[in-house]
Amino acid sequence: MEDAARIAGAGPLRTLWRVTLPLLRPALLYSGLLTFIAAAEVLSIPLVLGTPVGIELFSSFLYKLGIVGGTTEYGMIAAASVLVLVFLTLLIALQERLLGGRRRFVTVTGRATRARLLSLGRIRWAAAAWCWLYVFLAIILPLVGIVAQSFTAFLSPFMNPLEVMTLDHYRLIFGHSAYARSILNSFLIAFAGGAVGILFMALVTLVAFRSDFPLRRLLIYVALYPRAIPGIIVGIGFLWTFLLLPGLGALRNTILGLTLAFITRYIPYGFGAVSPAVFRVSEEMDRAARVVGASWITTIRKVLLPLLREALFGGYALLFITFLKEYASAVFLFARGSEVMGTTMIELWRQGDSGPVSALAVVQVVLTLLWLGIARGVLGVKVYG
Amino acid sequence: MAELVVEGLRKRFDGVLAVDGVSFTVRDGEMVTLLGPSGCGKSTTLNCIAGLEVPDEGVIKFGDRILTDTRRGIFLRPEARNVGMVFQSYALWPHMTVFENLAFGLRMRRVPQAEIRRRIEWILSLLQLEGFEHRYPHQLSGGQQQRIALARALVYEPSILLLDEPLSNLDAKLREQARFWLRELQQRLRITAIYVTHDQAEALALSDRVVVMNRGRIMAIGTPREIYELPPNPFVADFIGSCNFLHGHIETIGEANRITVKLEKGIPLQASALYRFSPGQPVIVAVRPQRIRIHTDGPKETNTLPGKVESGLYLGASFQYVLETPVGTLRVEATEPVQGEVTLYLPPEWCIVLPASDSGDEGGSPADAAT
Repeated sequence: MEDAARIAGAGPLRTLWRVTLPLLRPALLYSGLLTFIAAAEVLSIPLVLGTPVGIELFSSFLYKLGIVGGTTEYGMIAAASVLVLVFLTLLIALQERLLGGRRRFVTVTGRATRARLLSLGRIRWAAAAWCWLYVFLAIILPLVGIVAQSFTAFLSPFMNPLEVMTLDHYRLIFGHSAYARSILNSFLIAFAGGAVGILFMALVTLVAFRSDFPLRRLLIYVALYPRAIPGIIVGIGFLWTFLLLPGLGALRNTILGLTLAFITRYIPYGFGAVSPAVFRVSEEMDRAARVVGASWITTIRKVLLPLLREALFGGYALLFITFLKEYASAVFLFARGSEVMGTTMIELWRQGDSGPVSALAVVQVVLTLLWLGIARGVLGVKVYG
Repeated sequence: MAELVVEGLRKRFDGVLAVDGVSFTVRDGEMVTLLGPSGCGKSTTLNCIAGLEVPDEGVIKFGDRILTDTRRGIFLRPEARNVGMVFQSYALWPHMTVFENLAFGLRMRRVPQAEIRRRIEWILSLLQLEGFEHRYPHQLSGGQQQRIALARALVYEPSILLLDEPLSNLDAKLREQARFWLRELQQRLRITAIYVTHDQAEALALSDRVVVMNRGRIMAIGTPREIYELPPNPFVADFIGSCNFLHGHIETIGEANRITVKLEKGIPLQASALYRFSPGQPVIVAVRPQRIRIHTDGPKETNTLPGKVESGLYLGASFQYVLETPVGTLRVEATEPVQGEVTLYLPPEWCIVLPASDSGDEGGSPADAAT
């Protein structure tokens, strides 16, 4: 398509502006929305950087109302959450409108074409420098800081960090039962919950696209809706569900309850990981199985799931990492015994212990990298992003 | 075994009638082709028979077993119908070997392992594919994949075989061979089969009877010869093979369905009728290019027209000419090259008089006049 524009006489910049970017519109809008929600829900940054200097954001406000204050103002939290939900629903509706007629954006037609590099000429050094500056500021610098802090008693520009080297923070987080438990809990939720989650999400995707369930179209929206809900609100929602529905009270404050909340929250991720693969499998595959004598569920089990194996492993790897980091929806749901790494970090931070927080963060990064290595090597998964 | 009956089938997609009142019968052991241009509803009809599509209206019966009856709310799921189906893309499961692909349907029927082996051996030898059990589909050629797809549809001995353009992915030479052995296999197994295609040559070569469809409706049902030689309406005449159409009015009606039609400019033409007509009625006369003969200096008989060669195409086995005549442009196929001014002879028995309505479902029925 870019080639067609070039041949029609458009220069590279014009092509980028008139063809490439408009084609990316769904992706841009979608990631814009996700970023917006992420910004609305992110708790750690306002808590860590904002609160001390008096900048109050919505999520830290909710957190304060619910956790820090002496009395928990559940009513007010719920009211605030509903406001956010209404606002986000409007945003989603707007996005749907802007994207109307999705087929306009179908670019993959099954015929492979090679991506062509755009020659930038002299500005390429500047462009590369800009990219690397971003990587350095956003990833490398904080990472170095965290690692340094986790190994030092006190990190200060006025002191040689090598003189205050210590393993105390690690000793603390591995030695203290509640902290060690949070690492184990996070790992368990990521490992088992991720596996159950991706299977559940695959099933949702298959019901939505490959069944004659009468409400399947609606299911697509339901499955994507959690993307609009800030994690902290998911947590509040689950808290109320556990409190109000008889029989579910037992789930409150357990890692099973946390896992349920995490899975619900990340259904759109699983949906996004599995559905492109589902579209690639011709419907004649399942039709052939049905005609030959297999029921719908047998067709799913014997034909579709095996064909989707790669996407499922990819989705599993993604969920593992996401669950390991997740804290926003856990804040209202955890208790003694069901701590996860994210909640422990927040607790520690509130006590002013930045050293152990960094140590936990390093553990998290190491677990993630290890997992990526395993996923790449053993499961043969290609992980992007 | 029994016959398959389809009655009053209707299916709507987003408000558009894809299948509009289709009824036909497939006799025991018969091979019937559903033929038509893309979007005519032939595949939808086949999917309704397989149970892959739920019709809005209609009855589908196999013997005394009712597969679908919308009035009574009966709908048998596809896995309960015991049909075999070959798909256009073959739809072999890529994660299974040939053996596993073939065994799948047998396992669903709880056939014992030893019997599964025996049956797979039988079907592979029948299709001359011995020794391919442990290959994966991607290790097979297109022709082999096509035969495995057929084997998978036949190995559990279904009561009816459905084929959805199974040869359309093969190259021309292979397709012709496949036609022969497919027909031979169907006759050897005496299995009732429905074949969907848009390729008229395939339909004529393969089937006992052809059902021609257009825009969700049946335009003709008959043996390949009936359909080709005595098309009941202009659509069928044009879709199967090619055809010249001459407009005119009925002048006189003679013996043995012989009719004289007055063409434009008052030129009379002797022709044959399938329907009952009355004098003065506007009609279309259909003549196939292969049936028109070219005389360069021949005697002036009846049913001749002067023609002038406008252009020609060399087709290998024959020549195709476009000629200008007093009643319009005619396409003619000839075995010898010609040029300039010629005389065309239109044999009355190959000039078929059809009612001048486009849809073809008005006017008399073919049975009225034909003998």
